[in-house]
Amino acid sequence: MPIVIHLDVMLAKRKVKSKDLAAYVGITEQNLSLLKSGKVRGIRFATLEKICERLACQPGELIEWVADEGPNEP
Amino acid sequence: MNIKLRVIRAGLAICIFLQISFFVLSWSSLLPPGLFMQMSVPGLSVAAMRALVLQERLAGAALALPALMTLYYGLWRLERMLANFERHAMFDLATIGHLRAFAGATLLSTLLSIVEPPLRAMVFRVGFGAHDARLSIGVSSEGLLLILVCGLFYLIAHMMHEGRRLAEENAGFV
Repeated sequence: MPIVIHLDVMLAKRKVKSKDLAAYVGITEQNLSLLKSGKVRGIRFATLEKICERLACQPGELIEWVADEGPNEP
Repeated sequence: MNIKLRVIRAGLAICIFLQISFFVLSWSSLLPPGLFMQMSVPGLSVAAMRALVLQERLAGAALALPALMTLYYGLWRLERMLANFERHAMFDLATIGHLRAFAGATLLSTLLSIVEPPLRAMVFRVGFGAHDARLSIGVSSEGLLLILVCGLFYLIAHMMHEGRRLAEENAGFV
């Protein structure tokens, strides 16, 4: 998947528990888990804003675009 | 919300009961002649209905039955839809299907009730030799309004389907 979520890394860096972040953002732990694994269709700006606020980071530190490795690439 | 739905469902049950009662009372002519309220079917006067022989009565009722049964089916599907509303399953595929079926059945019932009087007159003429039976087709403003409302319900069902699609899409966002 070209978009990689680094939320678990950031949670570990900031020593914040998933449960606490979910409560702060106002989403369920299940949805946060789906977000961490990248199994969501999208993320709302309001959710992203809250996560960045709690983890004191930039959106770019949470989300990264990685180019797909095509079969014909050298 | 649930209280309102229960009131509507009770009203619907009364409506179904009245429809069936009117049908039975009209075609059986069970009401005494002197009663303040008399019933007849479109295209036939009360006196003409009383003059019908048993075979004519049975044939007339058989011709009118499809419209009643279709309407009954539509109202039953509406009742199922309201039951789903009570369970807060407003945008379920089944709920949308119930609304569509209700609209379709009501539309079909209206069309059948428009076709039924001339068909009955034809059967009375050909089958029973009733040459005074008038062969005419008539559409009332209520019938036209009902067709319009059925079309509107189809549109609402389409909107509900679109609403369900949006809700599903929204559920994928955190």
